[in-house]
Amino acid sequence: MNWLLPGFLAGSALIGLPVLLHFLRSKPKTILHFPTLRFLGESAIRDTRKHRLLRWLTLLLRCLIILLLAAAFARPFRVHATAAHRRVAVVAIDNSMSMQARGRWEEMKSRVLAGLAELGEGDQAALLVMHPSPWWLVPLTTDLARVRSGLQAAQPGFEKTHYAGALRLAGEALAANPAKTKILIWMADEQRLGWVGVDMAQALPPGIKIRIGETAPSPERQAAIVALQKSAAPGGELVATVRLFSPMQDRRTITVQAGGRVLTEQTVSLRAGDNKIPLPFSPAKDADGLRVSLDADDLPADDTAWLALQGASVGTVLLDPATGTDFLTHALLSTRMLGVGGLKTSALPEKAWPVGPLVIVRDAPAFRPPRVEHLDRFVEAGGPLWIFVDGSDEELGWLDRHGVNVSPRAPEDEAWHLRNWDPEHPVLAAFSGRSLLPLLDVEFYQGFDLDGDSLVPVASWPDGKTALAEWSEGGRHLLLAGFPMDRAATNWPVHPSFVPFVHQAAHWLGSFASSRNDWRVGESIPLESEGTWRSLDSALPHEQRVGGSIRPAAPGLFEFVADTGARRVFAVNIPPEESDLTPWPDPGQLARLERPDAPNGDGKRMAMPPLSDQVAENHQRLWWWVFALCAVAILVELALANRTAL
Amino acid sequence: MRLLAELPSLSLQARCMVEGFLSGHHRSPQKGSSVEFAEYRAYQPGDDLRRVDWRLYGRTDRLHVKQYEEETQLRVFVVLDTSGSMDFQSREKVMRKIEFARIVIAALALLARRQGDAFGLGIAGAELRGFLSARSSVSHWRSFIGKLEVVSPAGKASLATALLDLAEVVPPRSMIVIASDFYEETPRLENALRRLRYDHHDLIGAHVLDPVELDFDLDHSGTFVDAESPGWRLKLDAPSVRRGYLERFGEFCSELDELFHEAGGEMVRLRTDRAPFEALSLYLAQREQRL
Repeated sequence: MNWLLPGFLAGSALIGLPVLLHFLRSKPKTILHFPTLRFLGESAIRDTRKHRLLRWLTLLLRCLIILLLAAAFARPFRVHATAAHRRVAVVAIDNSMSMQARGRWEEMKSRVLAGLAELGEGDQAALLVMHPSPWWLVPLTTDLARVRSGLQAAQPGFEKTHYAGALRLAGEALAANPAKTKILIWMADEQRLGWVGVDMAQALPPGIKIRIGETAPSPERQAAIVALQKSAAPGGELVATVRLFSPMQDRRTITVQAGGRVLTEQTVSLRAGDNKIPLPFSPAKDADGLRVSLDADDLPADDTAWLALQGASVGTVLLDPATGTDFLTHALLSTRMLGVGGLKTSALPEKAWPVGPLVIVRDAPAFRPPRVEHLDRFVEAGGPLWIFVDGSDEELGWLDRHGVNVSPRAPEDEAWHLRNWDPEHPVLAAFSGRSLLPLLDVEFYQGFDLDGDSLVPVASWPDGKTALAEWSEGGRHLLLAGFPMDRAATNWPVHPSFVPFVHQAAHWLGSFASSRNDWRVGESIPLESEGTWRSLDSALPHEQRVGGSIRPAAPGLFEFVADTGARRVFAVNIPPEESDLTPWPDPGQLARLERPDAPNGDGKRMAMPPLSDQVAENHQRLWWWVFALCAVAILVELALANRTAL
Repeated sequence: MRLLAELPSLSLQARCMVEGFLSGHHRSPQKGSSVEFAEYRAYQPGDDLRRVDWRLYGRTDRLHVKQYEEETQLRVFVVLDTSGSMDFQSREKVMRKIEFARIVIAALALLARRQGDAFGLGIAGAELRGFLSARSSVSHWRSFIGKLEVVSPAGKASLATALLDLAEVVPPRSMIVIASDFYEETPRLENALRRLRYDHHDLIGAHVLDPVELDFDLDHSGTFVDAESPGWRLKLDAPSVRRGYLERFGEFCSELDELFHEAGGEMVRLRTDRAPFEALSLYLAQREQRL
């Protein structure tokens, strides 16, 4: 039997208390003269003996109760004898694009297979794939053949390397395992990019051995097309940015293709670093995009890039005037700094509002004649609309007519924070795969509760009332914010999450997302509606139904055909930083990932039991049974104590 | 009862007891009349006014009633058990059993005297330790009280032997009141009562018991010593043996009741922490039946 918190066993010393009380009370010193003992004969002696026995039994029960309580608080658990002697290995597979470097994947796979061969019957192994986010290809199992076949079938992808998540997950899984020997087999090329952000001093729990292979040598020839840019002028040239990593100078051939037809081919001299190469060509009129490729080097995956030929457009947002600093306009205009997918803002026209642009209304005048007539016509025509509720009578009346009930929230001493954010909602695509904490930190001092059958909550006030909602009406998407957009109502405008949220909301509402045509593997592409996503030219051809957004796993040229019939073309390329195969400069630091098991002299470890013990104890929950036994003992003790009480 | 015990003499104790007892009765307990005048007796509340001698009242300005020969024919013998078990007192607030029995006996004798009955005394030890024949004079009352006051309980007694001895000296058709805890072997006691029954005596058993004997509400353990046989000791835990004790003691009381019933007598159970008026009532009831 093992104890998770053995310190509580010291509490068993309390059994001295009932023992002391027992012996203090059990000595009959009174001499009692009684008229006759004829009624207290043998049977009374028997009763007394029985009573004495019951008192001893009561004492034993009291001691048992104390021992059981101490045992329950000490959290007992059993360590299986087999588990204590077996080995467990987790293979962390770096499937990033850099692993496609010539020979790198096969060589590491052979090394790992050799490591797995050391495991015997009863040992466990698992395969943990690192990208796009760590996931178990094969969970911990004793079926080593399945692990080996899983590893054989695994292939590197096109994601960007990041080791921290996989290292943490593998460490937790191994730490939670009761096996005596815990091995983390690190199947990665130790790319410098992957180790960025990893705390080498606290990477793995104690007792885990990490097997890191030799750092992969830098490739002899490595260049990557990191950007493609086409001038807006008709018949203009294409500029390809080629980054040469090695050798310092090289001659490479660049080919531009469209629809399988070679448009141009050039042989160029490259120097280390970025080389902008103009590529004049005459595109076919029906071409969706261009495929630009270098002759293959040691890492062929980044030698090809795609460019969608659909021109990028600038989305327009119409707003009513704001009093004071117009944070919303500043946030919208900041999108133009991105180069693509930029937005421009304009004041709401006095005449009828065009249906194309996104309209944002924040103030009462938009709900008064004659503007309210423009607003009604705009909504009826299907125009995208974003409303910030300010509580004016005109606004509340208009919303009430459209089936939305708005009631002001009573002010409180403490600011509110929005809760229950729907991470799957497209309006939060900017935060997809990242933390929602920036949104949770935003403070609100004034707000309104939203209620209506057509509202789909995106976020709620702390009491669960809807604060931010998608307003689905007749197939249109409108956004309704239950708070005014000014500093008196919220600190969101000066919060880091404000600009990404406004960008994403505007793009989603105005269907501006497709205006950006250069995406990277791993990014989430917002889509305005449901439809079919299909590869036109990709390393991993596929076709699938999508809705809201998609996260391409491979580079290529893709088309999205919405259910409404609208068709858009997207180019997805390799993250440029992934092409840099430079290894971590200090291999000695990687050795520090492994921390020896130090049961003594480690204060932290003394205070916190090993995770494997916690997991074993949590699975077995023996303390519950000990408490149950203790409860039974208490009941019996109460019954006996009532019979033996003096 | 504690206050009664603190009175200076047994005679006074008996008088208080009787006065307290009679104050609750509206009718005089005296019954019967006869043409043969015997003596005057001071009027007591509740006496029939028709029996007041108004001439004497006119001369002496005091109320007296006339007593006749027939009323003095009842002989009451009271028997006091002086065994060691009667020397028991469970706590300060209650009387010792022997003291209580002494007061009960004296009160009965006084009541008998006031009724004009003759009263006698038997002291029960290992045998009949003392005996006073039945009379009703004032001097006899003094002898009675004097003998009663010097009695002290000690050692093992045999109530049955004493009763058999008493049967030999008591005239037939007397009333015999036995104040005891009756810790006697049941067959022997049964034999003695049967002997008394043979002489047509009216029997009243005054079962004198300490509250602890009745309730056994002891809350501690200790060494119990038998009052009549000090060598007999038991280490017991009182709460654990209480149930068994009460069962057996209840059976014993039932047996006693049955014995007295079979002997044509009555048994009254007296607690030393309560006034023994039941015994006096029983005496009067028996007397009424007899007369």
